[in-house]
Amino acid sequence: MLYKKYKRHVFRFAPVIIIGLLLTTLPTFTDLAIIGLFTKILIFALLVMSLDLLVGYTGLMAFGHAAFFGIGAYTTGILIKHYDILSFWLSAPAGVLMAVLAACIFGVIALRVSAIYFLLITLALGQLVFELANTSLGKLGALTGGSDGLGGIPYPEIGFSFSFSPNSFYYFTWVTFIICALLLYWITKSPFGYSLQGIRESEVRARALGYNTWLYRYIAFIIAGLFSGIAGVLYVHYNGFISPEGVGMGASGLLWLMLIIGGSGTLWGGFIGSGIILSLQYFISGFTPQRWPLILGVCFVGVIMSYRGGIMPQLNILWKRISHDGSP
Amino acid sequence: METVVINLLNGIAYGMVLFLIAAGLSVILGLMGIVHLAHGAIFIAGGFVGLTIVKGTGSFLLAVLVGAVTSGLVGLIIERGFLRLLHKQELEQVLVTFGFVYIIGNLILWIWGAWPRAAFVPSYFAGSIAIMGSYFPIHRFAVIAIGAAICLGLWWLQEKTRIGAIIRAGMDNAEMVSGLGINLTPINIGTFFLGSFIAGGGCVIGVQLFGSIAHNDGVNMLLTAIAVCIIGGVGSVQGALVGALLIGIIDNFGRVYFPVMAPWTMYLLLILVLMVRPSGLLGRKL
Amino acid sequence: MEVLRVEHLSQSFGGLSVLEDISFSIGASEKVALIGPNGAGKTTLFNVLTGFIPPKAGRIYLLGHDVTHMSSHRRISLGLSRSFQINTLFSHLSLLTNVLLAIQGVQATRYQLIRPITAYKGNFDKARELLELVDLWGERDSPVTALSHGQQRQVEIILALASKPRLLLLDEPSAGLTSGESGNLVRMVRNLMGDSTVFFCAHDLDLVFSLAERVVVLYYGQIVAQGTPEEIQNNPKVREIYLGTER
Repeated sequence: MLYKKYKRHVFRFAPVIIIGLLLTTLPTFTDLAIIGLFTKILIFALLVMSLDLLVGYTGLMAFGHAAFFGIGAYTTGILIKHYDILSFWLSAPAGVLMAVLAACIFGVIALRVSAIYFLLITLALGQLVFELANTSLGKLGALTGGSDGLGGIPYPEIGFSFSFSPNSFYYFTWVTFIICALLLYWITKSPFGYSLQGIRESEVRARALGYNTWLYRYIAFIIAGLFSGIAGVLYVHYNGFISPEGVGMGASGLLWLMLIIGGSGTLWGGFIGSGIILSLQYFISGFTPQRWPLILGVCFVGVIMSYRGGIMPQLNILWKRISHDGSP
Repeated sequence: METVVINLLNGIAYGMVLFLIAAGLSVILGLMGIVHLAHGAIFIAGGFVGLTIVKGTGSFLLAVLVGAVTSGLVGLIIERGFLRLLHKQELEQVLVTFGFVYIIGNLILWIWGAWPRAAFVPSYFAGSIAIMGSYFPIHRFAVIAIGAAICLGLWWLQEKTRIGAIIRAGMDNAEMVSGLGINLTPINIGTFFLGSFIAGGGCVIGVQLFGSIAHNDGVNMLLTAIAVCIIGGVGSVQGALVGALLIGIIDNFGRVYFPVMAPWTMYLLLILVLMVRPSGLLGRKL
Repeated sequence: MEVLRVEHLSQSFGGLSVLEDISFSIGASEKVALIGPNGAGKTTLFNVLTGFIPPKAGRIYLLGHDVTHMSSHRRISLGLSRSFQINTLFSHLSLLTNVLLAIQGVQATRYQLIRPITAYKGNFDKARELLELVDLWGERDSPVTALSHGQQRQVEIILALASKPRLLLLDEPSAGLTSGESGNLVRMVRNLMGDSTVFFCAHDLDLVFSLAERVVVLYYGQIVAQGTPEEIQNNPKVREIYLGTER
């Protein structure tokens, strides 16, 4: 009797647990290159999940999302490289804070308009950040390194005479990812999260029920910016280097492709999309790195033309069929 | 004083090129509700094709024509082959055009390589005219003149022809237009082709203002075209013109007098307009 | 105690005057109907009252507060609620979620970020109560668009009632319903209304005469008559412009 009651829960969480175990034991059975790949996958999974909060849950077509990622990465990088702020406990929060600040400002601007204009504005704001990162003029250019980017960023300095290795940094990313993913999950299951979905479905209805729809969208925007900033900080330590390419329209487009393929509105779709695209990139770049954008574009168009649900909803349906034990 | 005049003229010339790319984007957005993100890439593609033609045949006129037609055809392929199948699914349409940004950009890279292509000025536009003690390139006058002519032509099409009336009606209420028995499909196709055609031709004509074009300039041009549409207002020739000239002039003066701020004058203007008047200076409420 | 007072309310679109110098008031527990031919301005009045459109002139007082320029959501938290003429539900969400969101709309917990929505048992119980009133508890997990039009109409009313409003605005509650479904709806509204204050507009005169204590007649944006249903029925002006159009 008790078994039956918990069987459904076990089944629902089984894939999460299995993947979790695999990811936890990853370093024991793979080499450094794969560890690096999965570190990157986790970072981007977090980034795409934050985008999903905006797109899938709130219904906001945010096209310049890589900007917050970039601001987090560049801020931390600049502090470490040019201002000798080596302690992770200072540079990381600063990076995240800048990303949140940017979200606060961009949110006020972008949320003045709706739907299509919002898309264009977030795109433009994202490009603005790109221009800021790309400029070689003035003090800013000296700090960011312009189109050459900012490099030479070591692993985080957390003190305690501890130095990171690719393996240990993987675990660091893994733990951070788990915490952030959990927070995002709780947010989607909270009254706030459901309110977001309501606002997505019918703004008029939500307003007529007492919801301050602007405020909800603004808060969602800032939360998304927060987690993007975290991803950015992780990335600059992982990659040691950040360039304007990681900030502009190309990068934001990559996030959208991951979101579409994994499935929006499901949160975990971000993880799947990130995994698929980055693994694809890893293998294809081994053969034709120059043609990767073309292949990416073709994949993009192909996925949209044939099928927009993404993989996650299909997996969900499949899983429900497998674990169905007769109860509704 | 001369420099102000020269800068103004430069700004207007740049604005004219912006108009040529933004006009198509604006009407496509206004009429079909499609945010055509690949428009910038199509613009650049026309330029590359044109410059290749010029290198091969030496004929600037042919280059403009072939460049324009190529862009028109690419736009047509995207619309007929892909966007049409996603009828009414606006987000999907945007995303597909987004995919084409990568595809077209990378194809250009593949065919023409990574080095920027230098601009070409035909002999009949070479040289400069003296204006108030400074020199202004004849080619840029030509750009202004050609741009103005096309603008006039488009405005006439919009205001004085039946097709223009149908297009304007379609922007307000496409269902009603269809309900009146008017088939919007050929109009949509024609608009898409014309917008891409003018953009491609405009790139070849105006490439001298940029000095050169590279395969990844498409994004930059797209963003500027978007800014023009938002600032000037979507859906009208005059809106695109006002937005384009405004950005062209302000951007130019920005570059001359505040070079450090140069990349952002456009964005600052964009943000300002958005905060104060979201539908654009001459825009219809979207 | 006055629940709603409207003073010299005017609204126009372009040059067209849609509401002209509207003044009336509604007291506690009153059931007032708004009738008038199509285009008279009924839905516009509702939109102005709920804050979706600002009025060109005039004042609106809700429970003593001047809400003329107050945002919609703040009016709701003061105790206003509204149903729409066209079903305006949270389309892809489940019926239960729809009702929960309606209950939550006036609670501070709607901003809760971390605790799951399932932790608020009280709201679930309230949702169950509401859904059982219309026999839809069994459908609670279906997406709301899977319900029939008549059922969705009932849900539309339920959502408006969920916040236990002081003033309930019902915009054409029986729109699109068959006469059978309409009868059900009338019964349902009458049972649920209790002693809340209700202001509704309707074309269905059976609905009007079985629910309303007072009737306000709107014609081309102006109030041309007010009174009990009997008075209105016998009012010659009203007969002429509205009831008397059947030839």
